[in-house]
Amino acid sequence: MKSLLDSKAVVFIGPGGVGKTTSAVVFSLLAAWQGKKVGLLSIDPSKRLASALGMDLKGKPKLLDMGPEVKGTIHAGVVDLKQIFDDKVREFSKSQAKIDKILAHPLYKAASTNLSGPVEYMSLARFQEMVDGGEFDIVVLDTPPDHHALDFLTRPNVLAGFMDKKIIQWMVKPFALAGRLGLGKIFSMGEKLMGGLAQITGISTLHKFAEFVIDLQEVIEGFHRLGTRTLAIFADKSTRFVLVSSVNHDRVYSIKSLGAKLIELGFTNPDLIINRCLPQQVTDELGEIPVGTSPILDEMGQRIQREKDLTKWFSGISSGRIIRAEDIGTEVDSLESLTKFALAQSQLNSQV
Amino acid sequence: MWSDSLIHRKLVFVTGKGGVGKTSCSVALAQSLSDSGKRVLLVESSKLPQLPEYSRGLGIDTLNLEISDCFRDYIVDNLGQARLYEAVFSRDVVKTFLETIPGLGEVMLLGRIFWALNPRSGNQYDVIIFDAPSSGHFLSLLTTPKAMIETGIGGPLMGEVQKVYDFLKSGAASMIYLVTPEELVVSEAIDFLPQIQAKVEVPMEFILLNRFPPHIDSSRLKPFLRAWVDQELRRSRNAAKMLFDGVPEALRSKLYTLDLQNSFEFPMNAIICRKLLSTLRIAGDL
Repeated sequence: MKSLLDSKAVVFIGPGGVGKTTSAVVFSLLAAWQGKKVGLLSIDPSKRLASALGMDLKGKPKLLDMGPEVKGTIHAGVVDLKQIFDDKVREFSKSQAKIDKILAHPLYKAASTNLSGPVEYMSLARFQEMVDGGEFDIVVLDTPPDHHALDFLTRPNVLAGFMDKKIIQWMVKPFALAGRLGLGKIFSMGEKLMGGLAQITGISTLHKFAEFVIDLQEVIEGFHRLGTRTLAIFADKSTRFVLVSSVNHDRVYSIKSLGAKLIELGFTNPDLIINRCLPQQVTDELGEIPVGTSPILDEMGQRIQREKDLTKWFSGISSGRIIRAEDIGTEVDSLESLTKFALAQSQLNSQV
Repeated sequence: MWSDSLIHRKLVFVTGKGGVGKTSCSVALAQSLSDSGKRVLLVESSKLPQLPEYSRGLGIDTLNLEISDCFRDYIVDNLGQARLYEAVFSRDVVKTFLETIPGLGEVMLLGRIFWALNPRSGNQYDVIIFDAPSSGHFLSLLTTPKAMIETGIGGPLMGEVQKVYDFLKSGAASMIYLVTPEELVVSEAIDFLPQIQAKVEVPMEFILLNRFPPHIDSSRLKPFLRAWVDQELRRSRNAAKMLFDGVPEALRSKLYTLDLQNSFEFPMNAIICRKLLSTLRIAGDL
């Protein structure tokens, strides 16, 4: 099996609180030490990690300063919903008048600043841009936690399905017709969808919404193309998926259900990172102490059990490799400690 | 102590960063309210539901609300439009379209929970415990009704959104925020708490520092293990202090700790639930 470092895109997936972003950053550092040009995209990193990496919260991915001994580079970025949304409206719409009209629309403003749904689409847009832009050898993507990762991975299907399921025809055409003929006409024609929507939202609301959808038609089509392209990237052999887990506290149930779902969705044979494994010497000395002595020792004992449990479970569902990351006993939250951690891990797992 | 301050609430959100123990605490809290005679419903909204497994055998009702079910329930049960639903909204193509409209899923979810408290829905629950999404998604969820109202679009659906918004502000709902004694988790809490205070009108019930390790005499342990245990204790105490110092002044009295449990069995039973909650202490004692 080829090394993860030879992939073109690596997608990190895991439940919350298992060290997903940290793993994505550590992997990026290792790749950069190997001389790769890395693009790192995170959806919602903790402020602390972002500032440790000098990741600006706005704009396009920025170059990290790692000193002269690192041969490669890392451009790291955080998904900025409004920025990307604006960019895409400008890219997909054909006339300036339409762009201005969309950007000023109250529904657009709400969607691009306050609401959570579009974040997944915009992250995909930036990810696709980074993969296809040719600027990077490898693009590393840190996805949102838990089932939100699944939402994220299935979004391209939704976008690509716009055409297959004739959504444009179903949705936009009635709206366009309504714009031309007036809603009253449409309802009298027995247009079920419009009539149905009007009962739920009210006629004037529907009218406003209809106008907006008509203006958005080119943007919707643009996102459809983007979805189709992202599906191809996801399906490409040079794209790899890494399930991130941790033995710290009981996340085993979440990891197992997420991993099973991932494979069910067709993302087969992912790799597995197990974070926060106890060092061997600590494990050995702990082995002699009876269970029930103290909660802190029992929790440590359970970490050893969870590592065994995860390893066994994973071998049964995937032929991907298992990367074991040992707890180094300190916070890994600065570029220095992250690099130290990355290099220690690469020695442990000489095959990353 | 739990039920004393929670007795008047109809809806309690349990949130916090991923991995801090939201589901376990939601189950323990539900058990505790059930012990005091309340009719409790445990709710989650996930493609990977956990509550049935976590609460197996406790006899507490659980409900997983996926967005498409919320649409169905709203149109069929609340509006009484079963035929409209069959004709239009049950179609895959319409579902897909609705899924792409920003904010709609969020208000549908909140609306559906609100509906479960309405006797007209046929439910008899006194209180709903919502094992809510983690911090960032939770903030979006709770700020959506206001954002929708501010777009200025009206109509029957927005009337429902307004009702949900008024309910959230009424004091009938509250939230519990969970943290663990780890620096990264605490720093995120310190960043998040002022934001949620500023943007969301739902009162904070507790900030719970979960899995706080009780003291242990490490002097008889072997060297590597001893160093490790001392370090873990030091780190969790430092993180706890960082939390106490960093929490907004107004929220400091809401800070409580729950002890790290000796053995955490799964699924949870009533004894584990009671044992966990029996360790609840005001964090000022640290």
